[in-house]
Amino acid sequence: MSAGDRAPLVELSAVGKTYGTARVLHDVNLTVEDGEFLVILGPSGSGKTTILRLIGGFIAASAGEIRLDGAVINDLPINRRPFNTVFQDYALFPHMTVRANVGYGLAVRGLPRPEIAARTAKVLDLVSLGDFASRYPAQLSGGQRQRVALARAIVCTPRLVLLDEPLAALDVDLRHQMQVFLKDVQRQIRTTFLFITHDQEEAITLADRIGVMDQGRIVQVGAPRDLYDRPGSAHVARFFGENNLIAGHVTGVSGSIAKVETALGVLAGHCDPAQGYVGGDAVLLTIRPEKIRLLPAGAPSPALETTIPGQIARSGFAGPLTQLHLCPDAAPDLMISVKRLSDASAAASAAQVSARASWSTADTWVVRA
Amino acid sequence: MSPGLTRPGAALAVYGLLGALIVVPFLSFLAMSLYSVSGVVIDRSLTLANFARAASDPVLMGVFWRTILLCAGIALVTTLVGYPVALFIAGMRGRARYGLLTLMVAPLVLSYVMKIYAFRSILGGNGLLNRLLMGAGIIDAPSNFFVFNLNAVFLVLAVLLAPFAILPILLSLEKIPAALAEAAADLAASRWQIFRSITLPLSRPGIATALSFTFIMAIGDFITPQMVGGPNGFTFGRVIYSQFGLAFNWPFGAALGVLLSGVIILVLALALALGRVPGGATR
Repeated sequence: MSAGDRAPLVELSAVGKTYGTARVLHDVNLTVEDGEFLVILGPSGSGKTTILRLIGGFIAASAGEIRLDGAVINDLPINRRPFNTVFQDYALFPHMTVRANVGYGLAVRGLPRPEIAARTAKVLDLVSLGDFASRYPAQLSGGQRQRVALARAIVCTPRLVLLDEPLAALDVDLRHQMQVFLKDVQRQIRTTFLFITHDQEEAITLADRIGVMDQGRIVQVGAPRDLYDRPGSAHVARFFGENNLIAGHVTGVSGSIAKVETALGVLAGHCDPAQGYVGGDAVLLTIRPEKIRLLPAGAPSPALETTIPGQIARSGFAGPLTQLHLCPDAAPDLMISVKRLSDASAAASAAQVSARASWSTADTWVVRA
Repeated sequence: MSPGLTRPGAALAVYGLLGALIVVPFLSFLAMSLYSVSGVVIDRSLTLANFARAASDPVLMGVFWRTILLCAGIALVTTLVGYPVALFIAGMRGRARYGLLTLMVAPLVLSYVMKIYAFRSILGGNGLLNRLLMGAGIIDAPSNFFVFNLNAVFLVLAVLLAPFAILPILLSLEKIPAALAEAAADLAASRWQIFRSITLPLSRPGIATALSFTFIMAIGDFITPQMVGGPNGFTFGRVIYSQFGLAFNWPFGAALGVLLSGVIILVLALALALGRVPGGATR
């Protein structure tokens, strides 16, 4: 991370992009710090690939400035930017061997052959493709092509590696493997990665920081933990992992605790005082499924600050976790989702008909609806 | 290959058609080349005399090699000129591209004879070309450079066959994913480097098709040389034609035809080798 007085590696200020009359990017402000793994997360069509293409120089910004080390690079042509890209469908050169693909960026810079050979071999070893150097892309598996694309991008020692949903085409197992692998490579070569994905789980696994996008805007940037625990908007609260969202109105605020009038009665919720909630504001009180305890109905067990009685509607065993749904007696339509480790007590809860959902106010979070 | 082609009925239709229209005529041609003529009757006893006669005739062999050279030149020129045109069209979008393509293909639907007559009036001693050159003060008297000789044949065939060079090159250029050029630029390649290392090698199949197409169409043509070549523009195709018409020596004409077919098969084999891109499929 950079010291406060130094310019960030890349900085977007008020960047916009329009195609004809369609605005695909609005007023985006984003910094990429030297050495970090930044993930841009958003649904398809949210403009995340546009950001990557703007930084990479594939397209020109319609508004705003893009800076590298503090200097504006809006007009710097693509082949002069010290960034390299891993494309979604790899874009490997089909008529060149793995070795020639990886060495391409060095060859066009006119480096001496022995140096190209040495650096190519080193990077191929890094991505464990040393034995495949003489193959053509058509002779490789999806995961291997992926690694060639990565090797080709990092061999030129770029300041920033841009990755455009590079794992989208891989099956689940390979994806997880590649995520770990990518993170390892990034640590080893100490290079900044900007990674685009629509998969929030992938974002959490990889990112030092995540920028969440929605409809052409960056709605929140932060560490995965922050986004998960303290989402800044209903969109982030909903998009980022499973969540219980209870709609209501603020009836009063004291410090960082808001009283929210909901279908389940007045509930206490943690909130960001800087938001300046006032009585009557429409909000969502959020509580993560894994933060809720299920207690037997009627039993004098130590309840937490909030307790909601209800009926167990559905339960499902999902491997290590058991998912339960509780219909509160006060509002049966509002199904509360609860996640438990699949142990004996979860099985016992699942067998019950009525139960109480209980949570601590510290685990709740209030966002504007 | 689409699964439909493996069904027996369809397979029979495809191979049957190929057999009836290409293999059988070719075999009958081959047989004819081994016969001989006595008087006005065709003698069906087999002999290689026709081939021996062709090989030992220096005038005929001269025409043979000159024709091959002429057609190779036509293939080379149309492909060299056609490539940048195809590249230009491939880089265009929307209406302009469609318009240009239509313009380029339009001459193909015109009658061949009409096009050749148009050329005759352009190239003649008193034709448009000569008048333009004289008007511009480049020459003083009508030049005979393009009047009834092989130069005229070369020029006319090159112009008429240009679309057959442009189209296959355009098709192969369009098959190259745009992402490849982006990836190369991203890796700091200049436009020229991208052309040299990505576009050109990946369009090799198109180049090979363009070269072989134009060569084969040029070498098989006997009407154009007849119409614009005059007495000095004698080509091998015309020689063959004259054996079937004027000389009424079908066996000898067939032998010359077999010779020409051999050249064409050789060119196709060369094109196949030239058009092979290392690494196989694009994806």
